[in-house]
Amino acid sequence: MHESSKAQQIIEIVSELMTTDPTLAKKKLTKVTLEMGRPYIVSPDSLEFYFAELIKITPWPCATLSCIESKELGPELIIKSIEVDDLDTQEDLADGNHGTKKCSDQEQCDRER
Amino acid sequence: MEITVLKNVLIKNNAIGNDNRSLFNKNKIFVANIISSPGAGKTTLLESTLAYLTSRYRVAVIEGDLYTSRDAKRLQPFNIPIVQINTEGGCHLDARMIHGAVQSLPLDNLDIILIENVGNLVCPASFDLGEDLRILMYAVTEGTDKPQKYANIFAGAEVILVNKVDLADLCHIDLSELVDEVRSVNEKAAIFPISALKQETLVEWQQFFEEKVKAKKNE
Ligand SMILES: Nc1nc2c(ncn2[C@@H]2O[C@H](COP(=O)(O)OP(=O)(O)OP(=O)(O)O)[C@@H](O)[C@H]2O)c(=O)[nH]1
Ligand SMILES: [Mg+2]
Repeated sequence: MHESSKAQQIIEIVSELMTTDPTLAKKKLTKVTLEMGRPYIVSPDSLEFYFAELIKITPWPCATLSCIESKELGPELIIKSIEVDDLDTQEDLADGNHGTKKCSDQEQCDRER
Repeated sequence: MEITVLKNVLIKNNAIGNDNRSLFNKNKIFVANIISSPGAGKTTLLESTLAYLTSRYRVAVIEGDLYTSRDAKRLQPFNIPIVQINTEGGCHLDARMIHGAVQSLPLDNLDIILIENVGNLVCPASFDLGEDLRILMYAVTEGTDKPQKYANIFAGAEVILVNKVDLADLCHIDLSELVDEVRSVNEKAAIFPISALKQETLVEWQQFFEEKVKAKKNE
């Protein structure tokens, strides 16, 4: 429950970035790196699990979440960075599906991960 | 291509929390967020304190509960504005819920808002509601070992009310040992041993609280 709402908040923040930053218009999200300080306020495994589930209904269903520990942080969660790739095809762009089409089946996602 | 973001995941909650705080400051309302595990005695404390507070101040209560409005019903005899928030399974109140709840309160006619959070010793720790004072209520029946187990919530409290001290002997709880445990994760919090059922144990705590309320009024 707790991890699921945190995963949802992470997705909302990166979605806003992906859709409002014009330099990211022709990119697809591939990875989000999250920094966590001790004591942890969420379980990293559980957060990654819920992220993988919730990201499926976004335009970037293959994006992954990676949680890393930061010695400088306290009990906080900071989105450190995102990784993006060029959209795969002209077709994707024309469809405005930001890579959804290519990633929509699980096998493709697993290969990309 | 990697792009640096550096955004706190709670950025949205914190922004709304700050909006709430500005609204409360503008109206000079003192807001307390009462957190505890289920059954530690939050509503009992409200029941014991409201008669005194409402004789001197204009008070409203926001009640957080998963599904019921039982606690709000217990407070109805005080005839004050009460807003019920049902989180429908959610384990904490967040700033957005409080923002919604205060819309139905007479903000220009209040001195104090008391928020009873959902009973939980983990999740409410991360959510700023815009409060002036974060109160952790902890019952001696929960044992002496919990401060380190639930370090975030103990570390973030400005006041720790050690409740049910009337049961300390029965539960084999050494109060000084419990205070040492609290101090191992929070050096600064004001600690008050109380029994929410016994008025005479609440005097010192109520004085402390009232001073905070007055300080805000005089800001
Ligand atoms: N012995 C004793 N019992 C207390 C004290 N304070 C509360 N209780 C009892 O503890 C039980 C739970 O109290 P509540 O006030 O409902 O606890 P709560 O924290 O509001 O519970 P939730 O809202 O469900 O999380 C009730 O039976 C109270 O009578 C106290 O100081 N001493
Ligand atoms: Mg209650």
